[in-house]
This record gives sequence, structure tokens and C-alpha cells, in this order.
Amino acid sequence: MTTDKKDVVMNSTAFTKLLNSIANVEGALVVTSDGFVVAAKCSPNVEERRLAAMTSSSIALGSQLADGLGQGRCEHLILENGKGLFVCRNIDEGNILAVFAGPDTKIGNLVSACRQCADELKPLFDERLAG
Amino acid sequence: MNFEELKLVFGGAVGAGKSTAIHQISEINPVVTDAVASDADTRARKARTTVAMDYGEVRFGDDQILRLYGMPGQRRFKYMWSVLGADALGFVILIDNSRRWPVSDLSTMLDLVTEVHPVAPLVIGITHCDISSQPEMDQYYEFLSERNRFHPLLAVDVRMKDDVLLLLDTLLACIQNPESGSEHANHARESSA
Repeated sequence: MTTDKKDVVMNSTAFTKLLNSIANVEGALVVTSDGFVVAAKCSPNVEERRLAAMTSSSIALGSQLADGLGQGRCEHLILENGKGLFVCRNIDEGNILAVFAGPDTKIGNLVSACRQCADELKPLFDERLAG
Repeated sequence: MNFEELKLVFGGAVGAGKSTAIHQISEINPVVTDAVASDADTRARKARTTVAMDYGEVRFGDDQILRLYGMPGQRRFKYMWSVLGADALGFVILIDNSRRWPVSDLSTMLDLVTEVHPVAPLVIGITHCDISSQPEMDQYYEFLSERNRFHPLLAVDVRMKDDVLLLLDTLLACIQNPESGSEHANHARESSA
């Protein structure tokens, strides 16, 4: 099941575009909401399984924080770090998209690219479920 | 001891009852970070699973609050132990007696706790005894004795608020008087004999 979804992601133009349209993107992955890797394209030094689990924890906490603030649904989570950026957002109830990039990346561009990719992956996942 | 800073952590394998226990006793609406379970093993036990933490609070008196944190049960979330466990004052370890290797689960949990907090007061609750009566309590005592560990060990139903409060009362006794843990363990063992 997860392998099918992996193919959907890896063969999609949306995922390829996310990786290639912005300079300094170092990797991206789709993970399940409970922290498993669905598909990933990361440099070898990145522990994908660990990153997947941490992504699910982070967005779950972000959702609770948004809820606690009365600010509605958590759209995406941004980590602006000393040596780069990390952005993740929900694709649907069961899947999350995460992307990370080097320090010279513009936050707005990365957030926008992440949103576009998630929006384009969602119907592909829906189709897969319907099929 | 400043009770306002009293942070307690619930650990245990998937489905052991950590979230249920915190929900039973929390006096605030608990923070829940669960997600749809996508793996067959977890789905066989429950539809959703904790991915970051549960959080609840129990008040003692006017300004004393116990902060209760529940850890995710899966090994891939092990990093949460160093995030939440390092400054905890005590641990409640829940062991699901109906799992395949519950004594091994206990061993894993003790290792996790020891890694982040080598001398942490802790209490062990054995759950799901209504589903499986094996292993018996003596087997847990035997295991603890072999590891030279002496912690209070209680059979509990975490769906019952009083059972969860009993675990907390026992843990608080261990925190206030570290010797009481082994005394309670010995007493409980004599009672079960």
C-alpha cells in the first residue's frame, strides 16, 4: 500500500517540481501522519525514518497549538534555522509533505512551493484511493 | 520540593493505556496529538495513535499542579524521551499484559527511562490483565529482581480513575521518599505471595 503511494509521489511532476524549482532545496519527503516514510528524496546524511517521525510529531503539536490559540487549522509549519529552512504541511488527513532547504532560500518561495506541491499531490492520492 | 514543577511522564508500548490514563484523571481538556494509524500492527489495536505526546494536568491544592506527559509508544518516536523525559521527576510505566512479550516490554521501558534519567522514581502498572492473566505478577517481580530493580508494581485498569490515581499516589510517595519505592515493592510482593 505504502509502495503504491511512493510511486504516486516519485512519479509526480509536483514532487519533481518541488525539488527542482527552487535553488538550495536539499530534500523533500512525504510521510504518513503517524510518522512513516511514504517517499523521500534526501541527501544520504539525512536519517529519513527519524525525520519522518519528527515531522509527524511536529505538525501534530503545531495543530494542537493552532487549536489552543483558536486560530483554526494548522496550514504549515516553518522552522527557520541557523543553516536552513524546514517547511511541512498536511496533504490530507493521513499524509504530510516536508521540504528543507539551505540558508539562502526565501521563506515565501519555499512555503509557496510546498503548498503547491501538497495541493497537487492531494488529488493524486484521492484518485489512488478511489481507484 | 516544588509541586508546581512536578512533571510526570507516562510510558509504555502502543495500546498500553497511556492516553486513557491521562484522560481519566486530567482536570483540563488533555492535549492530544494522535494521527491515523497506518501500520497493520497498530491498526489491529486501535485506529489512531499518539505521535508527539499527550498532556494533562491534575491540581493539588490551590496552586500545585501535576503536569502529566504521555509518550508515544512506537520506537520511532524514541527521541521524545529525551525531549520530555530528562527533567521529569517520576515515571509511570504501563505494561500491556495481553501483548506477546510483556516482560520484554518492561525491559525496553526500563532501558528507555534509565537512558534519560538513571535514578528516576518510577511505578509500574500492569494493564489488560482482564484479557490476559499471564504473565503473573511474580514473573515481573522475578525479572525486576534479576535486574536488581525494585519498583512498585500494580495491576491496574486505567479505565478506572481510582486505579490511575493509585499509580500517581504511589509515584508521589516514591518521589517524596525514594526508599518508599523499594519498601512498597517488597510489601506488594509479600501481599501477592
